[in-house]
Amino acid sequence: MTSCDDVDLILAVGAVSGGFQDDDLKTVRDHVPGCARCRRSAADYTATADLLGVAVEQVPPPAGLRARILAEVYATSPAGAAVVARQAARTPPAPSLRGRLARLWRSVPSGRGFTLGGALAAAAAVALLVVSVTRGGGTAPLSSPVSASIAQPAVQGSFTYYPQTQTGVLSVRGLGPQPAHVYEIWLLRSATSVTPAGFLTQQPDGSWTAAIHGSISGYAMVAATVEKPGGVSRPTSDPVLTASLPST
Amino acid sequence: MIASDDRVLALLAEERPEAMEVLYDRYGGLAYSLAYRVLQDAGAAEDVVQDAFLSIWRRADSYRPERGSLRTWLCSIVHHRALDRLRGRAGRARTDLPLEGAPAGDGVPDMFETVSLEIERDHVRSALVELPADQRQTIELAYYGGYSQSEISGLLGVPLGTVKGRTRAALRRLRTALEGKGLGEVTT
Repeated sequence: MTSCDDVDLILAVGAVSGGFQDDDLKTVRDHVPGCARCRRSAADYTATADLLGVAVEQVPPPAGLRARILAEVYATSPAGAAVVARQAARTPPAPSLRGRLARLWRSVPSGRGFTLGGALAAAAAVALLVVSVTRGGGTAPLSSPVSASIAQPAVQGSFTYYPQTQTGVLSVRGLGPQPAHVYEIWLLRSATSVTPAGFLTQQPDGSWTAAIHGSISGYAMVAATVEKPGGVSRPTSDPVLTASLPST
Repeated sequence: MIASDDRVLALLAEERPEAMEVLYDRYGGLAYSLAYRVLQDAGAAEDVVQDAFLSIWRRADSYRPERGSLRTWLCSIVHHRALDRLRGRAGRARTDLPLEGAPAGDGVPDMFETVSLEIERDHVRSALVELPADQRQTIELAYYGGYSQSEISGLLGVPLGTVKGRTRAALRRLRTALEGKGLGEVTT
C-alpha cells in the first residue's frame, strides 16, 4: 500500500513536470480522491508550480503571432459565421451601380491617389509585393493600410488577409460612432461590381473590426459606408474608408 | 479595451472574439516568453502559444478558478504544451485532480492586472533566488528546462530519489515564501 508520503512526492514531481508517468498516475488516481491530505498537497503543489511561469524573462513575441491567432479566432467565432451567412444571403448588385461606384472611388481624398486608376495601381504594387512574399509557400498574411476619407480623416487601420484560412480582418481606429446607423463593408471587384461583405463591429476599446471570409481573389478594394441598420444591398453613401486588397 | 481578467473570462464564455485580443495583448508576451524559455526555439514557441490560445478560445469553459488566476492557467497550458512539444509526445496525463477550493477573482480593474503581474513576477523571482542552490537548479532544469527527473539525475550525477526530494523541498519552500506574499494560496 502506498503511503501519503510516497504520493506527496509523486504529486510534487508531477506538478513541476507537467504530469505523471503511467505508474505514478495510477497511484495518484487510486489514492488522492479519497485522501484529503493529498488532495490538499496536490492543490498546493499545482498552484505553486503554476506560478513559476510568470517569472520568466520577457521575450517579445513575433509580430505576426497576434494576427495569426486572432484570424483563427475570428474565423471560428459566431460573429464570423454570421458574416458568412449574410454574404451568402445577399444578391450581387446590379450593373447600374456604375455611377455610385465611380463616386465612391472618387470621394476618397485625391492626395492619397485613390482614383480608380490609382487604386488599381496600388493594388498592382501590392500584388508585386505579394508575389515576392508568397513564393515561399503562399501562407504568409498579406496586409494593406486603410485610407481615410474627408468625412473621417482620423481613421487608421489595416486590412490583413490570411491565405491559409481565406479570412480577411479589417481593423480600424478613429472611426466615429454612427447612432442609428451601421458601417457596412463592401468588396469591390471593378467599377461595375460591388459585393456586401458584412459590418464593422465596435470593440470595447473603441476600435472597429470586421471578419471577411472567403477568397478575395479578383477583388481590388474593400470599403466601408454608413448605412441604415441591417445594411443595404448596394452603397447609398460615400465611403468613410478604403483599402486596396492584396492579390492572392 | 478595459477589462479585468474576470471580465475577459466572461466574454470568452460568451464566445466574444474581442476577449482574445485583450487576452493576447495582456499575456501574449508572457506566454511566448515561457514557451521560448522551455523550447529555446522561436518557431516551436510560436506554435505552442498559438495552440494554447486557441485551446482557451475553444474551451474557455474548462477554466477552473480553484486552479488559480487566468494568467497562471494560461501559463499552465503553455507549459504543458511546451513540454509535450519538447518531448515529442501527443499529451500526458494532466495534474487535473480534485482540488480544494480557492477564492475566485473579484473583478478588479485592468490596470491592476498589469501591475499585479509585475508584482507577482518579482515575488516569484525573489522566492526562486532564495532557494538553496541545489533546489533552485533542480526546479530550473525541471520546470524551465523541461528535463525529466531521471534526466536531471543523470545531468547532476545524483540519485533519482535525491532529485525528487529536492524538487519537493523546493516546491514547499516556494509555497511558503509565496503564500507569505499572498500568492498561490489554496483555502479549505
